[in-house]
Amino acid sequence: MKRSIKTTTAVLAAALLAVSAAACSAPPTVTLVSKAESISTTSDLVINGQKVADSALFAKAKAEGSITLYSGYVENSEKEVIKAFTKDTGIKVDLVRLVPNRLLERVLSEQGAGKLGADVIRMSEFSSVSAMNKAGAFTAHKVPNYGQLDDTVKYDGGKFYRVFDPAFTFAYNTALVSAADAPKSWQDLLDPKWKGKIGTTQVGAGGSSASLVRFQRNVLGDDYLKGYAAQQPRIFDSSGAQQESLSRGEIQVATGVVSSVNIAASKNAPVKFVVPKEGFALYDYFLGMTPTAKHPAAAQVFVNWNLSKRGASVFAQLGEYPADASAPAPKVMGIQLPAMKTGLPHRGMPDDLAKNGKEDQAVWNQIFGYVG
Amino acid sequence: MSALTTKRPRGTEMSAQPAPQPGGPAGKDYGRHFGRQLRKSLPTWFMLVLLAVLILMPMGLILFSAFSSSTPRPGAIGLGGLTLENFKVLTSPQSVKALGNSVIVATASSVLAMLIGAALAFLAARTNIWGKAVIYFIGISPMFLPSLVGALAWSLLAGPATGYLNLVTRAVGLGNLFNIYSMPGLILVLALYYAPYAFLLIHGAMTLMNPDLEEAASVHGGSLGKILRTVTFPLVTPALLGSGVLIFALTMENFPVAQMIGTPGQIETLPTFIYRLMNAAPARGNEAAAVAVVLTVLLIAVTAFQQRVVMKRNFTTVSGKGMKPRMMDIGRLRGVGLAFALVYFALAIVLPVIALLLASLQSSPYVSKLGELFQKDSLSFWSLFQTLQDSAFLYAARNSVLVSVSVAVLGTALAFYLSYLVYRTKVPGRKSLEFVAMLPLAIPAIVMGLGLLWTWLILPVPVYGTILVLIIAFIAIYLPQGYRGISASILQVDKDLEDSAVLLGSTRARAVAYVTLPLMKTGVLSTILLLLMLAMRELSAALFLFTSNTRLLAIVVFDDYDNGALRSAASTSLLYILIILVLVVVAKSFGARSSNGGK
Repeated sequence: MKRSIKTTTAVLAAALLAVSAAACSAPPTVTLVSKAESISTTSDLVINGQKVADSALFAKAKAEGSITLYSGYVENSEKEVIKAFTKDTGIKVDLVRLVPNRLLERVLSEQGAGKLGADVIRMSEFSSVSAMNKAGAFTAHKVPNYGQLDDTVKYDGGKFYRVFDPAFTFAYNTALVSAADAPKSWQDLLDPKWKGKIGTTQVGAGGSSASLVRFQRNVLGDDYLKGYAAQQPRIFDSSGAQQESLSRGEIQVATGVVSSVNIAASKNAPVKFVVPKEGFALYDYFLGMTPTAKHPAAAQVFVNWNLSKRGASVFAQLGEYPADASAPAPKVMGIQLPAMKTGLPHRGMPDDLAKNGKEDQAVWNQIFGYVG
Repeated sequence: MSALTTKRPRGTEMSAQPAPQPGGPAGKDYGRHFGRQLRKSLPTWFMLVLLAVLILMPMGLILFSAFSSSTPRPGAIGLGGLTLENFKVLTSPQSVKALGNSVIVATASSVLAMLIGAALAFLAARTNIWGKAVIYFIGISPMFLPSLVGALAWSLLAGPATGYLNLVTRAVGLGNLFNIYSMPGLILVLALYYAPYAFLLIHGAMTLMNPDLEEAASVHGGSLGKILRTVTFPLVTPALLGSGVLIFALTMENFPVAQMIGTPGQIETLPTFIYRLMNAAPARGNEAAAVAVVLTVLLIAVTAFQQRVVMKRNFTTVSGKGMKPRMMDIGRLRGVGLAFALVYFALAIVLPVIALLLASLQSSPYVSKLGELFQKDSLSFWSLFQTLQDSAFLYAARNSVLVSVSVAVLGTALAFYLSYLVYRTKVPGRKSLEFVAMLPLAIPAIVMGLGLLWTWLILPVPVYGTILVLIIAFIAIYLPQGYRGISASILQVDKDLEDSAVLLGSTRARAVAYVTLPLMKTGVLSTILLLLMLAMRELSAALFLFTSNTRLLAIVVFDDYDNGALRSAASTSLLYILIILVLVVVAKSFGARSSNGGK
């Protein structure tokens, strides 16, 4: 027993030494989020010429030093956001990242027990955020630019805000598919040459999938879904797992979120997203502060920052559409995404999703022969 | 013997109460009698309360939620919305298919795991094969690899198109041969990582076996095959059945492998179905609970069947006589046996570790040819070092170690106490204790995790959000394994040995400590090791209980996988395995000391 462990260790060590000749250098990566153009932290917190917090609030926030964020947002993306926020403000963020549905369960349970551990909660899907709000998980906080935000951004007197919308389209593996061969439209994906080589997330995988299916049924029609199902796609439970499978080339084309594709590409994955001519889906992400926040000042600064011009710019650099209508559409990986007014981005509207969600799910499961 | 047993030792028998002495004050006597009754049934009551909180309450909440229209949350529990609606989900053709798949996968993989485990156990414990210590090491080593990590590694190894094995077969002109995302793939991966359970239990039983019976058979001219068939294997029936049922239940409720290997291949099983329902938008916890109830009933039936078989007969093989199991000469089969063990080792450990290493060193997630891996700058230790310094990883590592060591020690102690109450005393209600203790086996860990979340949110004890709640949860979930491990060896140790010590003036506790426990040493150590590994590997039960400060390694790996951060998942997995290895070596060295040098 002991000798075999020793032998194993020795062999492993030898192998490690052999490979370590291959260096320990960091693989080339791309910086996604650039630094703030201007920032002043001496009294008021002013970023890019916009006041994010007054001196009293900012001083308190710095004294608190950190916040706890519960987030349903993709972990890689949330980490980029946190990196930028901490760099700008010096306030640390403890992230509890859970897939949105588990997060909902967690928040409702903790709130019910009076043990809500979050200062701030980020969550997709209006229905889930409303459920949290109904349970009393949010407290009203008016951001400095509250007056300039329209009613699709602020809700219930500032209890929660829509901050940004990721774009859900499709992407391909550039090592396996040349730019010339790459599909340009959703209809192209029905070409027999993609049979068995494509992927999609299942309808119940979260707010993202729900919005995508809403878009597909609205714009492309049920026959399109039937055609897609006939292509025998690999069906994934999470968009993260699908993204990785695409990066590794297990599948060649798959539905994908622009920001996730952007982040994967920045880490050397051979992937690229497509802006299809029929358009694509947007889904909402919301943010709210909790009434039991242990770091109330820091939490307010975080919410303010998210809804500031700087916040919008950070999200746009990742590939998300900022909720603030005055902010420009994102441009990532050299591709300018179309502005909202072009009509190509189809935002999943809360009432539309609420009305059709159940039916979408049933229809999709039936078409794809899926358990759910 | 009969002389010894006429006088019952103290504290073991409830029915043998002396009648009140005539002439004494009857009332006082009655009171004393009643008091003694109460005192003697105290252990049972204490245990029942403990088990009620650990096991029954979470189960009750799950059962309740299966019949309710809303999931039970603190402050929102009412009997208002009782319904049978949730069970409708079971009638869909897809869920029938999921059930069918689960049964097929669990049956096939437990049969395969038993064959592997039993063969290795027999080779290591009872034959003259070369390198027995190595065989033993091979038999248990896949336990160092959580099935979660194994599944991750196998999807890297044999994923369609770009799995490393496919790169190899493509390089030699054979094309893509492997697709792990298939029924055989799922069965293989489960069997590989559950075979050690069979190995541990069967090996324990085989080393404790009294060789007299085999020798007798041999003296009377029985051939090796016949002795094995009619003496050796029948004697280890409890261990065989125990491990069989255990593996069946564990593979049936296994979530990580089903999710990582089955789901991509569109093979639904009940646990992934439950996970999906829980993860649906909005979460369908009630329907998940309904599915869980059905799965539970199914597994209780299997467990009950196994109980009946074990209870029917007396399997005592360790008595006061000294004994050393006989080593059988298997002749030329030694080579075959060794080859078998090495192939298993390659499939379960060597190839997966290589795959994880490559994946964590690759600077791009995509490789199309084997040669690309050896180009300049295509491999780098950077990610591995990043992970090693990552505070999230270090925190998770600390948590995992703390939780698993606590669970192993406390869980084994609890299991021993329980097992002792059930098999060595006649306290009333001991059968119900056993029944309750075995229940978690039949509940998918992921559902149990949710039940435990509700339980500890509702109970006015501030453990939710701490590491304590994870320890409590894992002890509850692995009580059946601990109990079964301890019971298998307590059943083999003759009760008369301990009773003799008591008769000669020892206290019961002293007799247990100096007679019973040393005789059960292999069993107890195996159980501690088993619980240590199980707790170290557990993912599903922790899914609902962890917080940012109490993330475990398994959670970090699964989240990385779920988020598509495969390189980080692979790096963490490798270090995860190393930590487990260190724990095992430490545990083993404890074992070696206590046995004066061991083998």
